[in-house]
Amino acid sequence: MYLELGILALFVFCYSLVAGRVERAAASGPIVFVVSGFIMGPMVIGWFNGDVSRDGIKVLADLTLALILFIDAANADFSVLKKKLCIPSRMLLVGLPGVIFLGTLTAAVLFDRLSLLEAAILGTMLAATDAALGKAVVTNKAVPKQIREGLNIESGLNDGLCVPILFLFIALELGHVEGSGTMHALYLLVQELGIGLVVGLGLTAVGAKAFTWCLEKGWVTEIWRQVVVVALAIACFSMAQSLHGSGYIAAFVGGLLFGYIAKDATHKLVLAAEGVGETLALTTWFVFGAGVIGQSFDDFTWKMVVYAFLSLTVIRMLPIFLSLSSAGEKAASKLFLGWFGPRGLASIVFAIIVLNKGVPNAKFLAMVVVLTVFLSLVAHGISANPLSAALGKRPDSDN
Amino acid sequence: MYGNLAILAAFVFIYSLVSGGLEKTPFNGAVVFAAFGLVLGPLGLGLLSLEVDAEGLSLLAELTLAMVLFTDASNANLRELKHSFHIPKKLLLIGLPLTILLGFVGGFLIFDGLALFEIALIATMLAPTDAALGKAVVTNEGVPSNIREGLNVESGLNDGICVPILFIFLALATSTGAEGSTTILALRLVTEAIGIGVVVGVGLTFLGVRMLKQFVDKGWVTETWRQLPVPALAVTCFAVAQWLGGSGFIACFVGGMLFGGLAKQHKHDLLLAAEGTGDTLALITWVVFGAAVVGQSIGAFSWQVVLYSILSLTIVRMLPVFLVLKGMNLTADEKLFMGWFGPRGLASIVFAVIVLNEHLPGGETISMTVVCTILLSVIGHGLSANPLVAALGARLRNSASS
Repeated sequence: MYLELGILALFVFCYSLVAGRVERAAASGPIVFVVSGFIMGPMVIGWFNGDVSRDGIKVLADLTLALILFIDAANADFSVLKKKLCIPSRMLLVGLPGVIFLGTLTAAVLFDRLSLLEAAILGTMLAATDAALGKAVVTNKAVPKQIREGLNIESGLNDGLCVPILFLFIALELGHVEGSGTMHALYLLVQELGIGLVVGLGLTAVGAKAFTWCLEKGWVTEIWRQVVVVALAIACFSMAQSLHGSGYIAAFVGGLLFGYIAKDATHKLVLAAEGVGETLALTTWFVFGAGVIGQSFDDFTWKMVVYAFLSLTVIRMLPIFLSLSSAGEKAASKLFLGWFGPRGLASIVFAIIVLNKGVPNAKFLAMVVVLTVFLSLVAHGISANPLSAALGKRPDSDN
Repeated sequence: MYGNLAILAAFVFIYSLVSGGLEKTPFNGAVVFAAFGLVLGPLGLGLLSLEVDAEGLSLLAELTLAMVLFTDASNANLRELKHSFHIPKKLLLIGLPLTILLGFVGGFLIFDGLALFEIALIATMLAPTDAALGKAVVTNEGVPSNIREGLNVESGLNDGICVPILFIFLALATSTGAEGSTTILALRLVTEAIGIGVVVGVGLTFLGVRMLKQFVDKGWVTETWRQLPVPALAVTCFAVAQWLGGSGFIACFVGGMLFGGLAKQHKHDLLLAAEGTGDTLALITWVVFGAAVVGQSIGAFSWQVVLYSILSLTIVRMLPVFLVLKGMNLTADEKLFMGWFGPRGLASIVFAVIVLNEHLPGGETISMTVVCTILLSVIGHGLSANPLVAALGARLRNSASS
């Protein structure tokens, strides 16, 4: 207990000292944390026992995803979205279902042991992309503006959209396995989503109104201003969970509404929450390295590597390419948008959810997710700067 | 699980909205949090179901105290004191032991069901004062600056000094009950714990500050991550010392003092973030206090407890403080003022959580006494701060003009 806490705190201390240097290098924070987690975990040194089913770790992963869903949704600027709706809305409305479909199909063909619904679960888990990992591309001035904004909005919203789809597939699979009937499973799912929706919208509407009111009165002090968004996001999530709704949906719609209501103030407020979110995210990466990677090792097969490779390339790139067919972008830009869908935190938390729900082949699915995320960390991390520069230099890409 | 989290998060959200408005009223944060915990806890509506025994909660309380010890100790920069160190030195070296002794004598006369070491525990738990609760007085310009500095330094350091004393009494109290463990062995373990704590705190902080300076100069510490080094260092000191079988609180306390001495330039900047983290943790600890500690010890409530609490806030602290300040060129008013403004708070709560987890025979009476004293202190010191400061100022002006 104290040993784990001590090592983690020491590691965060050391990382906070060199964060500025690491960000300039090719290795991103997540890679550093995953690798250190793996080295200190049960597979190598054994300082961390890395049991993912422990309550504390599940809560950590839950809260991290809730916070990220809320923050990303709040940051999705709808005024930009309206003007440049074309790219992200095509990617989300046409591309995302395509990615899930193709991912399901590939999994069903490649892995005999998976049922069709389990293949669909895998396809959905790996369809969500990670906005934080895409930051190197999204903040790179060499990349044309509409592509950067398109990627940013897409990766901010697709994890939230994947949540109900994932829960639908899990409910169907469990209803099928336990024999309690598909209708019953669907009924529970609708209830869960509905409660999440109501809690998220209700709490945020009241909270954001109260916030703007207190802000005008000058009651919000500097120190506590940092806490507002974090507390609201966690309140939405845990309130919905305790009422047997989906906390992720609550955090996601809450974030969307908060971004809409608090317009101008959003950015400043969300910034503090981002710091907390980032720390939580890196801690989750560390746990991922220590626990999840080691735990799923024995199921490893070469077919998984093939699937991970396909998932990063054809499964995402083809639907995205097709969905943008009449958006007026060059082929190079469309391929670029297709490639830069790094898989990350959302996929990992999804894997932990699936592990905890008791889906029959959960460990197998988790291993595929782990492998894909790891490949993505390396490949997208290395290719971000060179490919951005290459795209920026193409004479036909500026407009 | 999620129910508790939802209530806490909603409460933190609401408090963060109205924090500025509340600061203008006599209610300080601690009153609001403790009342909130009390109302929603098992004694009130029963919405918050917290157990002090739960590993998570005692870890939370411990981390809070660790963070507070570290930041308070590093803020008390002894070399930068404008006035002499005489007042706080006397308060800490003579006043504090006398307070514990007097608290022990009072407890011996009032409580008859408790063992001697348990009474000594009560006296020690209620000796440290809370720097955060004293802020209203310490930041008030109406109070002479030597008194403010004296109170500030005293309350920043006395909790750290009380930690080893508490552990010695705790070891003695548990070893007399248990079979096969001798007093000598218990004392050896405590000495070991303190020694390990000192070594870990000094070593880690020394290395940490050296690294921090190096990397800040290189410009590798970015804006987002600047918030983290001090909280992370404090938690590291605490957890490593605990893991090695030492006392994490001692490690944080000496680590904080060393940090305050070494990191002069960037100290204030870096500490600010740690104070924010400490504030949020303290808020939650106060809620836990209201919901769980009060509820779990209410069964031991008696008139002796109330009597002791009143004595603890008045004679037990005021008399020693009055006596040790003789010859310090202070008027009787000022000496009484310093004696009164020793609000009990966070340190006593965490001590209560630690003692509750040891399951001593008199554990409930001990924690009830602490609870009662803290409640009286939060109300009494909160309400009296502004009027008494004004009265002291008026008196001093009168005596100066006459």
